[in-house]
Amino acid sequence: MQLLSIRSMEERIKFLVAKFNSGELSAVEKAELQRLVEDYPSMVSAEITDLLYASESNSELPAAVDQHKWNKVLGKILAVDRHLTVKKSPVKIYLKWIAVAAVLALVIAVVLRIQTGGKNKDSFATDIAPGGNRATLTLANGKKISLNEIAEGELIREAGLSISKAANGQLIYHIEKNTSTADDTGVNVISTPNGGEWQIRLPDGSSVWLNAASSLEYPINIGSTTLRKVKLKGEAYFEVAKDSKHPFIVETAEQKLEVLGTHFNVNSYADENLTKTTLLEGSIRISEIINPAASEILKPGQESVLSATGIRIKDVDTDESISWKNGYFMFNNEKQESILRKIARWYNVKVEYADEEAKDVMYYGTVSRFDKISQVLRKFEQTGEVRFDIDKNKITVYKK
Amino acid sequence: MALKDRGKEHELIKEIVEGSEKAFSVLFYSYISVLYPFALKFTKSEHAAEEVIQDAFLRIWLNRDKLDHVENVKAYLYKYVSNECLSHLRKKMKEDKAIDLLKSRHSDLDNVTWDAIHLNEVTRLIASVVEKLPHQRRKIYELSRGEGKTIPEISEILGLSSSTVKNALVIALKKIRENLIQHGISLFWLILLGISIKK
Repeated sequence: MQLLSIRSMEERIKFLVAKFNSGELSAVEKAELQRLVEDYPSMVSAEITDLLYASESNSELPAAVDQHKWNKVLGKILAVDRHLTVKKSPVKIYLKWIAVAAVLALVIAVVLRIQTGGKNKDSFATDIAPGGNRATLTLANGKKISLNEIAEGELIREAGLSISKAANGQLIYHIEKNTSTADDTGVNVISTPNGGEWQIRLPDGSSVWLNAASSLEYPINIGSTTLRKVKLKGEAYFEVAKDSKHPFIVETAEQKLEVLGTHFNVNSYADENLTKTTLLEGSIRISEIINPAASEILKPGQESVLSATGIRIKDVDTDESISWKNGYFMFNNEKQESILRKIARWYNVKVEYADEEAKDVMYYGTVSRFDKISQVLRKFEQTGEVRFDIDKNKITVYKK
Repeated sequence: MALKDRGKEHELIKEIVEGSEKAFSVLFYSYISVLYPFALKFTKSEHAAEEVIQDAFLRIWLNRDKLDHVENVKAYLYKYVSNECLSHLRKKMKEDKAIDLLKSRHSDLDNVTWDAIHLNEVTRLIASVVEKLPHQRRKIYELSRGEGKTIPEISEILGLSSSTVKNALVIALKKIRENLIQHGISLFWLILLGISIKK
């Protein structure tokens, strides 16, 4: 390799970077550029900056800025160093009950003080780690694979598909080009335990984030069927690959949801009485399974709530419904009882109430999903309304 | 819509340094219509381009106190974005070898949640730093990044001078960066100080 002057080195880099930008690099040039990137990163970066300045005067008019997308990105950026906290919701309180509760609280406090010797700081007997990536994949032949135990890049082969685990854990389906007679009519099921979550990319290119205690059943040939129908228990966030010729259908216990190509969240746990569907982008049609004629169309920013009395639609803060996927618990005037059900699924604990009134305390705020449970519960305690005891995997809730 | 008025941009930068999310968003939107199309052409992937923009601006946000000393805001932003593109270039060249091993209908192996997990880790590390801040500094931080209060507002609430409040926020930010770097998450590009400064 001859010695090149800095000037001609810059020109060479400029030439190669421009070719990379227009997608015309040959294999040999690619190898050369790779080496230059390793050896002279600042020069390569400078050439990229030049290209950027040059692109300012592009004759192509920039497309309209997608505010929705960029607001999401901005939201993510600004949230990393935001301070998360929980505040008690200002709610109408019935005076009669305050008086009674206050008296009770006083009595209990006195009794406790005597017993515990006036110890003010609670110390949790045990602490519990948050959930993480845990899931089981059941293949068409019934074989179960524990996904957290297989290595990154490892392939599972079934019926003309190979399933690999990407670096971040996401399960990706690939269609193998050279398939023999493949029987691809079976279903796969991916399920998460309490304390588990997982992300998967289905054979049709749709991405699904599964929350704790949930399961998703889908046909292996979903990439080529007329209808892309999946069955969900629990909660999942979907980014459905656009394909208007092949509607995507999500079935839960009570609800059927039809999609063309969109991003939405479905919350349908058996121990919650409602099926909530929140739409972020696109358009979906919701109907009750027992009453398919009555259907509703959802627009972005709306949430449908399906209960025994039918379907109700309202405008919501979509960030709240997908906060779990972004690593938070976010609540907006939510009751302690409902919040603790979510916490129970994620930390795999049981919740018991020593005082029924504790169930009704309402909160708004945000808490990280990746803290240990003691840190999360302490934030609630700091509002002065409730107190917790942790014993092994049982949480007991007291009203202060 | 680039901010032609240098004076206005200067005001905006001052607010960003003090932690204004709104000012940061305005800056973001004033440059996105040049930056995103460039990133899109360079990476040839909507997702990768979004990641380039997100990571560049995340670094700028976490280094916002340094904006105080920046003469040319556009050059500063462009350098951050170029460096993210460089990082993408590096990754892409390595990946291209691996892609050939997997025959795939979806050639875009970019991990959709890679950024989400990355951000979660950053968020968690930052929260742990904030938790350990000394009482007054922490209170100042909470008022700024928890309740969105401006420096004058915080001064009034806590009865402190503006410079005390501003210093506290800068120190908190520095501690955050130290912690992230300790955990292998680099936040600024040493090559910004690099040799060939073209413009």
